[in-house]
Amino acid sequence: MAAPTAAPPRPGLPSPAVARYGAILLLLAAAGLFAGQGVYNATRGPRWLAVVQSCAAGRPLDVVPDVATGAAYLRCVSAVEQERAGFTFAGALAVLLLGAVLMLVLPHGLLWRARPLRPAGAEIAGRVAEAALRLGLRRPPAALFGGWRLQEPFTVRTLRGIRVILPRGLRRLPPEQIDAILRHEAAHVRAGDVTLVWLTRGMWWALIPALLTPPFLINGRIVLAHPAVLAEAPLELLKAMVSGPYYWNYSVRSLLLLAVATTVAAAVLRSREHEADLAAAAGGRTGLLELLRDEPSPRRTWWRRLRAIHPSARRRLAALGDPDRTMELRPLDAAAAAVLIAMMTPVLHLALPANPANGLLARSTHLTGVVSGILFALVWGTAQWRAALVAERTGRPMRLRATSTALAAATAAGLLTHISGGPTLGLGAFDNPTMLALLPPSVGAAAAASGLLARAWARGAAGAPVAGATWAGIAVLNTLMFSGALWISCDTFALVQSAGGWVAGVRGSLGYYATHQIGAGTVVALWVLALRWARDRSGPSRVAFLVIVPAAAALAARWLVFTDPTDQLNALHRDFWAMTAAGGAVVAVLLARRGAAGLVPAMTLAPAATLLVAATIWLRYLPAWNYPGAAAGHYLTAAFAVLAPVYLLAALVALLLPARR
Amino acid sequence: MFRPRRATPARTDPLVAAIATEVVTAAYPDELDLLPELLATAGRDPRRLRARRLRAPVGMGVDLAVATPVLLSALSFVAAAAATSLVDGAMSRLSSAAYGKVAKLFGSGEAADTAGPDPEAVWQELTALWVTLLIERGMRADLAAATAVQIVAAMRRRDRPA
Repeated sequence: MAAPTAAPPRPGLPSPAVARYGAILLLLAAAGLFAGQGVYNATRGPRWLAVVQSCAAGRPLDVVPDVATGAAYLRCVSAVEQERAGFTFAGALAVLLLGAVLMLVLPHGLLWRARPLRPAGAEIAGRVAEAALRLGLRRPPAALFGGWRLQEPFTVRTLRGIRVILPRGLRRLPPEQIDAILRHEAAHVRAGDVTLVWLTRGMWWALIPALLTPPFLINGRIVLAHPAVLAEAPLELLKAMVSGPYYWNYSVRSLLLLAVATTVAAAVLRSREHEADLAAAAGGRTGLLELLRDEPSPRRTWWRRLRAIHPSARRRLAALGDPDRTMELRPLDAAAAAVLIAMMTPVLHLALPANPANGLLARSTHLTGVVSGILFALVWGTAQWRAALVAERTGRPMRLRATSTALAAATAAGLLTHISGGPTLGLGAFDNPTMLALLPPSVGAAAAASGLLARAWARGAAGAPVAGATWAGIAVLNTLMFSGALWISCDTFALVQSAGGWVAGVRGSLGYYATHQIGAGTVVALWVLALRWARDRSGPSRVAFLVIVPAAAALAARWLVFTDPTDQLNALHRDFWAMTAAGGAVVAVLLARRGAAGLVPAMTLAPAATLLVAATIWLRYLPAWNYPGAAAGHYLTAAFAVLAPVYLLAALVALLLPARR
Repeated sequence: MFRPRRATPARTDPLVAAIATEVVTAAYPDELDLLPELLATAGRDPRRLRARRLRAPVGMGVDLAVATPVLLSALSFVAAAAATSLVDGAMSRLSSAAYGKVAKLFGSGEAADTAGPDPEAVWQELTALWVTLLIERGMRADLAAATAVQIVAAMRRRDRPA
């Protein structure tokens, strides 16, 4: 293999490992929510059911009630729902606290196993101080030699400060290799995850009790109720306990969750090693390269690669030779992030209480969408924008199609396999065919739209350092896009369910979206950003053509074709459809002409077309408006808000198109 | 914190101790301070030298294990096999000439040294044996090769004609 040369690190890019820690916290929280729910079901479940059935007053619970009946029902179940939510969130808190405690305790266990510890001596201490100085640490960590069983160096934080524990075999290395190791360990200290990394280990000790608690409580109640059976027929009791579909379903789902946890935890550990290598190589690469070249690098199967807590020496050398590779998008990372978030989404939704006082039932879907949207934004959205900068620098493709498809597919897989799901697939709130047809493609579309915007941004930003505030802004933008996608799909699902069919549901949904001020705000934000980032702007005549012709055609259709008399609400919906058609036509033309690269330019022109339609309609009826100001506000909101689903659909189409310049 | 411990008097085979000291002095001088403790461990129960190494889950992922325990474990294994005539694994594949050499040096001295016409071939065979034993015990291949050469050199120094 040709000797790779380490390039200097790229400052200003957020660490991929940080978002993955978030994913682990999410996993713990989801398991905790589930355990809390399980404890509630086992201890208070019968009471909850009695109250819910009494409040339903004989109505089937799966029938959508009218507004008044629904409100009365919610008031009735409010108290038990609050209690249920209390248990559920207490479960999440308990598991997260357990994870935090383990994060602090487990390093001491490793230190104990690495003993006897003894000071590494003045020479090593001097080298540690120099490495710390190079890496910008204010205080150098203390260096200690471990016992003879210790095979590799590691760094931990104790109550007395940070300790770098070194194997005795370190002393046989040449000085530049020793320095490389010490810089690597100092890089971990600088990354600030010396304690946080123990989440990847503590996670197991927190997850497994959380997953075992519900079946333990259910079975414990049986045993407590019939203690004599335990003595007389223990095997029969055990068989009865584990033979039902509940246990098989639960076991399979738990194992899947643990498999995903293994993959994510291993990915965290591998990516932090790459990051520390890159930081260490910045202070002198020869020692590290020699050290890694001497390491054996056996071929691993894909499953072993997935579970490996260290990257192979070959991969480490490759990453040092081409650091940009560590920042590129991989379908596997997309899938791991999406499975985790999608597994958590139904659990969180189930955990939220039905409570009309604070509107949580009405908004529980939206609240779930915001939380999941934030997670998608932080874990995947940021990765996409970082990868866009890298792609601009290297000229290599972003792999947006592959990763967005993986994100959508894994979202569907996560919704199907989440831990709260029942034994029968397709009947839950999130794993039914309608939701699966809506939510995963929406997430994939949001990722595609975000990625295409990121590409447009990166063309102008590549090469320049990116400020922390910019990354915060990117996180907010991604949150709006992913949360919006989740809201749109969940709302469409609810409207399709209540309307009893897709056509009626989608028709009704446009009227719903058109009044959505957050959706309108997001489209305005996208408009402003697209105006700034769209590279080659069309001339005024072409712009006028692209905006005016679709707007005029939509207005003509609105007033010349749909002439039959109708009620006020239906007329309003026709206005919304006219705006949607005008904006959609602009988007379609630009996608047809420029492929995927047409989406961002389309975001600059489509709002102009919808605004033109909205303004014309408003002006035509100006003498008839009782409150012209309020009407203008509604039409202004609608002109932007109707574009949100159009953009999502366009992003899905863009994924299938080649990008033409 | 570190408190020096008084090592239990070692009952290690004197030849094992001598060869180990020679090899460690030549190849791993930084590990000499560990030698008394490890010789004592080998004397009490050589199997403890093969105890699982500590791979820190949050460690750097490079193998910097000390070589002395592996060396002592391999030497103790060969000495035990020669003393008891219970051969196993790599030892069982030795030619009678090579086995005779091992038995003569490490054993009771009763086994005949049946060195063939090409003594160098015997030493090469023994070098290969040490490489196998050291790698089996977890030493890196490059270190195992260098260490095996040192062990054979130490053996040759003790191989006086009968």
